[in-house]
Amino acid sequence: MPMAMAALVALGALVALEALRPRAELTIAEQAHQITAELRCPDCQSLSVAESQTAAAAAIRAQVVELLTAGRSPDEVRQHFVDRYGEWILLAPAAPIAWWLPVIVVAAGIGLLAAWLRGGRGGAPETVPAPPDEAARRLVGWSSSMPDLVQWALLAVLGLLTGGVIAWPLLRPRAPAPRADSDQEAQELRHRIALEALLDVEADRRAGSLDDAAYARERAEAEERAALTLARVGTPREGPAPSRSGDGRRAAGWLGAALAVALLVGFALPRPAGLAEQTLINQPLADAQAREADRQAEIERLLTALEADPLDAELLSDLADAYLAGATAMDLKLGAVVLQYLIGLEPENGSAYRRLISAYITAGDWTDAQAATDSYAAVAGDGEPDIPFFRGLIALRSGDKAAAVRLFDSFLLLAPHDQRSPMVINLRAQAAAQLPSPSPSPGG
Amino acid sequence: MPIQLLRWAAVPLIVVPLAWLLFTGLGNDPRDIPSPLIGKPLPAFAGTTLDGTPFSSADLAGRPAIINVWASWCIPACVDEHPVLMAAAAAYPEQLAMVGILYQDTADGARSFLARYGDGGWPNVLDASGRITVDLGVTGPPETFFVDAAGIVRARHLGPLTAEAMAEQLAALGLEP
Repeated sequence: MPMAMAALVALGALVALEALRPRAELTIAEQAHQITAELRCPDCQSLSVAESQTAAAAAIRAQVVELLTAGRSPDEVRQHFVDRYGEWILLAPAAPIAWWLPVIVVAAGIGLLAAWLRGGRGGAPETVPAPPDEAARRLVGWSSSMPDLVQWALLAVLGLLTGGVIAWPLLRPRAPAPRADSDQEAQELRHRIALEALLDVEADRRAGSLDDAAYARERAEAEERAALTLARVGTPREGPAPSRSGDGRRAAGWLGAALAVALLVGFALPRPAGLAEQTLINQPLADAQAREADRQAEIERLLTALEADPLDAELLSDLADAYLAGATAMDLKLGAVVLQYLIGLEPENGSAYRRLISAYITAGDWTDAQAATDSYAAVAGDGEPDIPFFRGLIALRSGDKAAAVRLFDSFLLLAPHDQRSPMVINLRAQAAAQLPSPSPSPGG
Repeated sequence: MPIQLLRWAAVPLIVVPLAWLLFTGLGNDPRDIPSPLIGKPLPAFAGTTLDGTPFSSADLAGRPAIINVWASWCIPACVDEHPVLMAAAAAYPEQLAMVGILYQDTADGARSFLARYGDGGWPNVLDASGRITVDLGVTGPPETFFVDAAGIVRARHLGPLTAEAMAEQLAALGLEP
């Protein structure tokens, strides 16, 4: 997860840096193209003014250039057409919600999917009848519990906030002022428009849509305008002062980039100074994972040591303990195998028998538990209190309450002062309570 | 249990509004959007009429006015609404100002249209550059604007005018039959 977070934040930093990259100011023609590409052609279907060849689109294009040359900002030009056609004329929706809605929906979808995936993992432990280890139980249980959802929500909020800070300068309306040295170009463009108007008049005349009087007047007007614009080509025009709105945008961009870089560095640093690892992971789960890693390392170490000396009973005993500390059915099985091997080496190792029988009982394997107890009894003799103790446990768990009561009684008779005695008295009482008819208490 | 209920309710909760949105949205005329000019002064315009005289929107002042955007190639819609305009011009020769704006049309085309379907006598302005129709926010002929005596745009009618629509709009301008 920290890796994914770091990647996410790095991406944010890249976006912010891209936003900060200095851009060349646009010429009037470029600005005009940008604006007309965002305007809907009024008499076509789904075409922008820039793409359309209709007369209405041509009229709007000419008007855009005219307004820009007159010193109006792109936003003012857009508003000029919104005032006449309504928001409909804008191809891109102006309402911010229209832009944010897909982002919100995707974020919510990812959140739901993540919650569902993490919640679904709760079904995994069914293969193990009862996880013997408290840490392992937590390992399984935590993944589906509430604090994870809270974490994901926090992550989502943090991501959105970071994205918002980074995106804010990007979403600010841009109003680059016409470049000072584009004045020359602007005047030329103006002159070209005037010449085109002159050509239009001629075309109208040829098409017969103008009579002599109207033609003479329009021709005179167009010629005057062309002469005027020609005179201005080459003379500098005093434009509006350079816009300062870019400064705020740049500052916000720097802020976003600084935040992103700080987060990136934070995630790269190790604990406790940095944010890396476990900052947002719940602590019990992290502890359980650390214990599991230690256990695997210990198993690895013991197996390596056993390669050198496969008959070392102490190493085998430790290996069995390491396996039995695990959570899964496979761990229990491996532990049992090691203990059987150890018993093969040391047939009178009572501790090995006890652990083997415990493992089988934990796994719910009554048959093997019974067999192992029988082997233990053959070695240790009937005087060993372990034998009735385990037989009683097996009987109790496998449902034979009457036998359990009898076997616990014989354990208490053999070892009244054993440290297991209070527990056995409790278990016996449990078993007795479930018997159809009351049975005599021990010693009674 | 409430979670289960919520899960079952989620499907209709999402599907029903979406279906409604699509259903009503697809039935709409994409051109039928309220004009931002309604309630605002008529944008000033000037041009040359078919008979060569200059015309300015100032000539409309003082009387309720109809501004009809049309074209000789706009068939049959402009032909259909022509008698309605003729009737209005005849009914209110003095009280009502009328002007036609020719949308992407030639003078010859417009003249032959009028010769064929009748000339009501109101001025028709050529809009060769398209400036006037862009200022009016016209998306295509026929389109008609109703302006009150104070020069404020009161309504816009998209598509061919019917006698009922005309009567309704004229009544709104204070012209009773």
